Amino acid sequence: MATVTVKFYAGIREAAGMRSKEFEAEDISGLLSSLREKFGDEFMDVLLDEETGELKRFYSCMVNGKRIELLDGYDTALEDGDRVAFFPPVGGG
Amino acid sequence: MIKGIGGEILWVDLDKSHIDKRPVDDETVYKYLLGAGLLSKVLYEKIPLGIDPLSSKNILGIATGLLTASMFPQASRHVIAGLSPLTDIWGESHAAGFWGPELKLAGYDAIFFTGASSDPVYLNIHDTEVDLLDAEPVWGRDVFETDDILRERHGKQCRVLSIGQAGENRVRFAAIMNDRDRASARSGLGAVMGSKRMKAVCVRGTGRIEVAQPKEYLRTMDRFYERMLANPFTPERAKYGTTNLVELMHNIGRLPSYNMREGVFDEYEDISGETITEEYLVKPRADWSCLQRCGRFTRVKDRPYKYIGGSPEFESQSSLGSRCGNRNVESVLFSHHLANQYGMDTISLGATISWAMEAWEEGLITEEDTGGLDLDWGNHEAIVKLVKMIAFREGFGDLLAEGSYRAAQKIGRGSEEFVMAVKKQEIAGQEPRAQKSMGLAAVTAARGADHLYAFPVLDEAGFDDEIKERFGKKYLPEMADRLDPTYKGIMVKECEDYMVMIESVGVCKYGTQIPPEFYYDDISEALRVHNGINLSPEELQEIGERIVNLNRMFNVERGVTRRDDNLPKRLTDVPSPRGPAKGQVVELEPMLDEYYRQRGWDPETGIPTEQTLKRLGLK
Repeated sequence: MATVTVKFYAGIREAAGMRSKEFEAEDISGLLSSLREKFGDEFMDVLLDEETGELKRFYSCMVNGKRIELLDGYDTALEDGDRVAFFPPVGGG
Repeated sequence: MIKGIGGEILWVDLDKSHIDKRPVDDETVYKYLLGAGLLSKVLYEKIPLGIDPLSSKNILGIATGLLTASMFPQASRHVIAGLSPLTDIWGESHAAGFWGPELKLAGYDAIFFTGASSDPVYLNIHDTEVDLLDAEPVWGRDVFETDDILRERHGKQCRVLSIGQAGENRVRFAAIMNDRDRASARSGLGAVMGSKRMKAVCVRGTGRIEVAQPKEYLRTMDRFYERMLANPFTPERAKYGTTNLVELMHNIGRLPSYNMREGVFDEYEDISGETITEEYLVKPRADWSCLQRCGRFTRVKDRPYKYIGGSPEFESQSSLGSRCGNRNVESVLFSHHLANQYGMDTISLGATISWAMEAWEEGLITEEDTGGLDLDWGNHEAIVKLVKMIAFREGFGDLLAEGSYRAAQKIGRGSEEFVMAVKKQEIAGQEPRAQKSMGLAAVTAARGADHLYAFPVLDEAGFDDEIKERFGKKYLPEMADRLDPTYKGIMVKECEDYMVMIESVGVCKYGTQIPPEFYYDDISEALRVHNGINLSPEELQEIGERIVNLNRMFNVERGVTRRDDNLPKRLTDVPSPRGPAKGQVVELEPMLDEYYRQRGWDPETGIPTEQTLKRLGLK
């Protein structure tokens, strides 16, 4: 198990009621389970699509600044000290 | 006959104080649309070579798009263009608000200003009545005072576009403001307006815009509204605007800090969208037909930075905050407010100050140059002072009013190395070592460093499905990877064609590019039901390509070649020192090779080939 810092932004932060927290998890799937355990189903409804069980359209999960889609998706392994960020739809310039 | 437009173009000869009304030419619309396309065509033909952009020979054009003032989501845009006094090449800038729709309702699709007035004037438009009036009551006034005075004089329902003192004083990055705090900021066209002694355009339009197919138009727009409202971006953007891009950019290493030396800012939370929303937000605001509502009003309650007004967007938070090492959010809000008041581009403003701060740190600029002002990173009092000094060209501000490129040329001493500009215009808040497409886009954009000409955001945060739809599955995952230069030439070319077309129909990039809700087929449908124009998606793409090539030829005729399509060495040769993009540089040359191949431009010179120009009907 790795100890990682998870940061929540915008609407996700509001649902979590905090900006960041340390979690222990082996990969992103495991981390999502930990999030459900900590924050409950209502929080996960903000984050995940009910049908697919994956992140909602345009929601991002990044590990050290890289989107999980460009890593190993939900199987992306986590290491001690990794920074995981969850963003609702945001982008532009 | 084309519907959904004003129908006439105003030609204002400031030398002779003469106003001419000419009809919109249908043939031009089918080849260039209106907005950016119309300005590109007319100004390419009319602006002479070899002139000083601040001389009376320059021509300033303002145009709305074919869909401006329609019910298409976010159809509030107008475009301003001319020869830029900052870059000496193509200058173009855009803004939202209500001024553009008001101009169309008065019956006009564009205004061209030629010559220069001997005394300050402003243009007053009330439907068919168009007059050049004495600007004595507003000359020397700021943007907000000008708005107040002209609306008091001509009616509260008027919409005002004006320059502030920065434009009058020919600051090379002066903006043209409308509706108080909407800015056509880039390219320094406010200085062109100032050089013509043209203070403002006050508009009241009470006419109607005839729509081609009213019933179908309503059905189509209703459908588009539903789609826009259902898009997951819409509620988030209404809540945070663009301010919480600070959080995203820091997390992906794309938030310029310390004059773009780095792409992360440890104190980013201090200037973040969440901080601004929680502590300073008054309310969101929407422009004409806007469902995204990314504009907002903010307030600082206490001195010394007390104000109430338009909120900074991400670019201002980045340029006046992290880029200057400034974590004092109230000073960021206030300096942005002052920039609006005096009428300046906050990107070039903050970037020029941050250049001076780095030169100061390196000992290349001293108190002798600054008149005693301390330019340590994060000195927010100095930043706020400099905003006014630049607008009024006081002391050291007079040098910075020239922009970082010219200021470094004058100072010398090696300070040129720290200029973060392309073709003399400062790079916006996109650290390109963390997003390679932004590096390419900054060098290929017609107006010098620019993130909006292409606005290549498809690799930014999760648009893999859109990439698959627009380009094909074979381009994944490389095209979606910000740090991978592969296929970015293809992406930037496609985005440029699309974005200049969007600027020619007068709708916002928010909704058409991020989120990418609407695409060519939707614009084609909107033009059919609103304007009665039948242009296929393929024809619209070709129009975009034609405009890009015409902009390029405008620059080529002024000496631009591949040699100028270059980034500062810091971004191509020095690996990013920290954060998620640590170790990255911009691999510019292979991306440029791919881009030129896509464009049909000579890879050696970067000039469109004869064959390309002929194909697009430009030869």
